[in-house]
Amino acid sequence: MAPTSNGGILMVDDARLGSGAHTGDDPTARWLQAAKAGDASAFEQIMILHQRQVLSTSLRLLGDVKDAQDAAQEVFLRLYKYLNRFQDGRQFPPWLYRITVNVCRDLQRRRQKTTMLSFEDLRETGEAIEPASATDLEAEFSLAEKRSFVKEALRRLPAKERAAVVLRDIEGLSTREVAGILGSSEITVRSQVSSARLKMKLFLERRLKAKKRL
Amino acid sequence: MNCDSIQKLIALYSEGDLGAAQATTVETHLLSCAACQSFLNELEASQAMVKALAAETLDPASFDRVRQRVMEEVSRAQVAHTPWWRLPHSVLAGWSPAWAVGLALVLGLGFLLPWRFWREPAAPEPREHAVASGSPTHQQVAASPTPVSSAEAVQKPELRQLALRRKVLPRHRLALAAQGEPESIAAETEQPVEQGAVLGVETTPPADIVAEPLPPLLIKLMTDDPNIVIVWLVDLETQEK
Ligand SMILES: [Zn+2]
Repeated sequence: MAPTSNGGILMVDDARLGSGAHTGDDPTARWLQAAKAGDASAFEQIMILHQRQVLSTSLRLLGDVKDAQDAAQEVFLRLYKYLNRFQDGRQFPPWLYRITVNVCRDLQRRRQKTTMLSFEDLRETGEAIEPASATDLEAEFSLAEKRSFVKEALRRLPAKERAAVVLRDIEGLSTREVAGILGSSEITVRSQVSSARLKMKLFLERRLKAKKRL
Repeated sequence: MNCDSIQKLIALYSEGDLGAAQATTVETHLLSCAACQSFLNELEASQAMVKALAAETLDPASFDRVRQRVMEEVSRAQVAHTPWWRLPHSVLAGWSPAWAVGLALVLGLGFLLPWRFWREPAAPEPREHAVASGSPTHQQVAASPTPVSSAEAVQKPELRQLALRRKVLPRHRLALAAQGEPESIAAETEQPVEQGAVLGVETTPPADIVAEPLPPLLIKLMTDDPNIVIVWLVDLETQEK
């Protein structure tokens, strides 16, 4: 199918978006048919089935719960609006991921989030550059602390690297699926993911070490 | 290949993202480089932290809030796109006070207002009102090819049969009406009608002086949704000749 852009939804060929572990026994397919016919409760069932995917991805991409809720709301409203464009037989989750990524990107642009911190900030603090293994240090931190470090690391990534690494490492999608969702090549995704992982490693090691000194 | 380049590959190797050839390159280097070996260990540790974020559960209230907000919008959109006779009973039930008030006004004003004006033939206000609302002037009426003779009917208003025509405009017309385009309604009704205010009522001049056609009584009921305006037209044409 020829790519058509509308409302942030891009149609891409099945080969890239379609390869997933989901089989034909997908309950979403039935709800989708009913929702397309105008059944609002069927649409709500679709939301219940996929709200975790949409809300948690939005939260990882935006880093703020309220923003993530706004984004998730917008994602589902766009989904509702463009429901008829979804072709039966295709994989639904990648399509929804794509809407999510686009909505979060738009939201971020609109709000001109300038809270994006760079990884360079840490270097300027004059902390010891000597590497510290996360393995040695992370045992001393609670799960909640470690999660907040990871979230901070994500916020410091450039938006495209963040999207790639969130989909690949946190949502657990394949490089191929991520490329389909982001509308880029697998080579690009691999490069973005590699860069993001290296930056996050550096950040987390320094963060763990700095906190330990306090 | 130097350690820097290898470490970029290690970032992919650690998660199985490399093809066989590049994986072999990395493995060969690791055998002879202790620094890159420990780099791999560190990366695996930080990746474990990153991936652990997936297990974080979100507040169920967040899901509920989003779903509730979306469903509100969805039902609003469905109401706006559904003709009133296909609305679910729940929606109509929610409007029941509005419907009751609207119907009462139609019936009450349709009967009471003309009766009041005919009983007080000297009252001048309705005439001005009608002119202001774009009704035909007396001269225009006199020149009209089809003047309606309602003299008999006027003297016996209780005998008149009010043709009550409840006109529900299609959705796009309603939208236009809400945007203040009276032509759309005029085209639909072929009667000179004018936009009224909320529940605005326009009535006719006293018909006892000159026989003239009665413009329809227009009642508009605004709802909470700015896209939905319920319009009633009460046709006051007489049935007798
Ligand atoms: Zn090396």
